[in-house]
Amino acid sequence: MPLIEAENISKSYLGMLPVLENSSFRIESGEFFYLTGVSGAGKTTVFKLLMLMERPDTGRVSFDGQDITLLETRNRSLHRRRIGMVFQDYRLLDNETIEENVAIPLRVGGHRGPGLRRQTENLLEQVGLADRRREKVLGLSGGEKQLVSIARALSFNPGVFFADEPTGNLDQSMAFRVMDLIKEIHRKGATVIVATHDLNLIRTFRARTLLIKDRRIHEVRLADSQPSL
Amino acid sequence: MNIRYGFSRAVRSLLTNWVVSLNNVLILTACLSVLGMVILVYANIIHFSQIWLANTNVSIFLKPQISAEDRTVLLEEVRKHRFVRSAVLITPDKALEELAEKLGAEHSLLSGYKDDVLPYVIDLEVFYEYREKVGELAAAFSARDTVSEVVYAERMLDQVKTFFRIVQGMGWFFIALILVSYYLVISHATRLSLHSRREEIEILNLVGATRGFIRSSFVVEGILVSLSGFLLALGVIWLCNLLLVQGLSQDELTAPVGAGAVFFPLAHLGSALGGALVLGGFSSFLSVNRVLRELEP
Repeated sequence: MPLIEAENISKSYLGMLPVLENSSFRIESGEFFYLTGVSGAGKTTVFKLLMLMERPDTGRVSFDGQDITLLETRNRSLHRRRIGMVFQDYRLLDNETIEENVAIPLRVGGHRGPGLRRQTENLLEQVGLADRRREKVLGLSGGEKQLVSIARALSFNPGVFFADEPTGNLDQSMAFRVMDLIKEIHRKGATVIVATHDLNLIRTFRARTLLIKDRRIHEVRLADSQPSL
Repeated sequence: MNIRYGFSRAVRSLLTNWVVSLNNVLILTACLSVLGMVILVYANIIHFSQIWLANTNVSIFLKPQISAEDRTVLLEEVRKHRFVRSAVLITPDKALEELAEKLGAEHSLLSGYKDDVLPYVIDLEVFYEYREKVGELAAAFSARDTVSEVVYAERMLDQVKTFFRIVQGMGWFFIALILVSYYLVISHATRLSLHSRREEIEILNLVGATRGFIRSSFVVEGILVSLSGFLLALGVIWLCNLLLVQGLSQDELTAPVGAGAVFFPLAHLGSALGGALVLGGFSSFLSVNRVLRELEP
């Protein structure tokens, strides 16, 4: 049974053309996938559907065989805790410290006191920011913010990890550092989907690739010579 | 719901947006001060009316031709009546003497009057619990052959009752108006807070926070704003009451009012505080729920 399965999903936003039409894909547990396509193709929409931030107009999305579109409010929250996610715009609280940002999911999960501090420190050590935990996010570079975002995404030790354009705003060396971290997360057993329109990144860190084109999702093999999507 | 997290986030949010928070607290203070002062004035009117009504006096004027024996029988009958606390017979010469005493230096105006110009009067005091049945008592004795007239503050009593009815009606309307304003202020405060913390809510939502978890800090914030407004309003009312009582005490005419004025009993203050906190939390709860529903697909 696939870990994630989308069957004939369609999604359109009010007053706009459909983003996805009758699209299907399957992802097995422990796989590493790229989700690619031009800007506005619908990569973020796929994540939103998988995170239950949006509902498909038609079709079903299942996790471990369970149709998640039918989940009630409380179970939707619990579903999101199974997934670690990072965003191109980081989605961090700029006026809070690094450790406060990383601690958010842990607090949500009911951790507090010394246990919370210890776990926060462990997560920050994984991304190399443990000694800067008291700094405000506002003063960090884009790459550092993405590292904080990754540390936060790892809080629940998720079995599934989504990254939406994680290197979009980063220089090459920081992009490689972030991708190395994501690969490490995959090596530890997580199922990873990375959305990107950066073909160089896909060629450097090779993996199976889903392409969103003309409102449909196709599995593709990108040639080394292919200049663009 | 994580209360500790909710409390720390609420305090931080209040301090971060301190201008807006202060504004909201002051609006609530104004609302509650006005409400509190109206209630306090009403409570004092009731208090003084009850004192006045507790001493309701009735005068039974007897006919001139009544015999001494009939007077004594009637006096005993009046004294035995269950509504009557005490009764005394005022003789015409005693009445004249009292009148002269009241006139003081002007008592010479009464010279030439004979004591038989005044009738015998039975002055009686009614028990507090029967104060509203004075009319019934008056009717019973008016019907007697030996009685010419029964006088009591009937009109004033009716006026007091009518006044209470009007004040009560207006009071409920006024209280409802203030409570609606209170709800709107808290909702507005919560909405501003929600607006400034929208990003945080989205992040909490993304990392799987339950609605209860997200709501907690906003509900606590509503309660804290409400508590601050209540305590400040209490201070304002207490100060106003103190100044008013001091002012009244300086004039001989109003001194008894100043000395007898009442403030809110502790039990009532406790209930009002509880009500304010519940209303504060509930208003925030409703506002934050609306936003959370918008975030869900």
